[in-house]
Amino acid sequence: MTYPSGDARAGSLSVWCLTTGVAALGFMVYLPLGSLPSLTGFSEDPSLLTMTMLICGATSVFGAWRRRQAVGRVLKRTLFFGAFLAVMGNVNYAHYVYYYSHTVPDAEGAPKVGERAPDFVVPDPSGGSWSLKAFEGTPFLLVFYRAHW
Amino acid sequence: MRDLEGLESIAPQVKDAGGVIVTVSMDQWSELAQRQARMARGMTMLADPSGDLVRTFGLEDICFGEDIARPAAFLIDADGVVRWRNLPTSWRYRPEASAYLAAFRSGVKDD
Repeated sequence: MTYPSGDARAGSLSVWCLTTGVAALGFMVYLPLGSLPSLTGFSEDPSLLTMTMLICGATSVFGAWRRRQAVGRVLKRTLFFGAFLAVMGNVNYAHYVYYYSHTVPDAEGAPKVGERAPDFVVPDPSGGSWSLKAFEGTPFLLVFYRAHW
Repeated sequence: MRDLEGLESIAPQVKDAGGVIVTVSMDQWSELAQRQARMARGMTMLADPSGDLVRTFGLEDICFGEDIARPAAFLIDADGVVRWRNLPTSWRYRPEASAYLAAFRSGVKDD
């Protein structure tokens, strides 16, 4: 079904598509959204993003519900499927942000402030090696990060 | 990768302050070489595919086996003593580059 471009229904359907798309982005929340400049606050305080996701999810469901009688069978299915994606996107987002992301294992064995760092030897492909001794006399930041990120 | 880019951006300042940045991942050395090629040589990047270094620091990820390291950062002074550490409790959180730099300057100043 198509609407004339000036028709209010076309506009509201566009809004529905947009909000559904944003809510469905919750499926991609495992991607480092915080690396996007506009979402740099995501890592520290996700409340704004959470609110956006909730509003978009609710708008998608409400929009699909409101149109359920007024559209043809194919569009009705599309609306239902879109709303379903929006809800699942919200669920996935909430699961990651408020549960999964906090499952970082404890590091009870990590050296504490004031303790001597444990000695280590890391062989490199050239046949040499890197060790704590190699950095003796030089303060250094030792940063562990997850591979492939 | 965002944290690596942040670290790369402060590497010259750390170097000017007499220090160095060392990163560790459980990548293969070949993977690391590709990453190094995309970044300036402002810091030392180590690969620890066996996970020995990660285990030495008690940072193995027991949630997913032993193929990744738990995110962590340490400032180790010229005598090999830990002066600052950061152990995020969320996968989403990484210190900003400015926080690393502030920690480095503070730790070095205290020496």
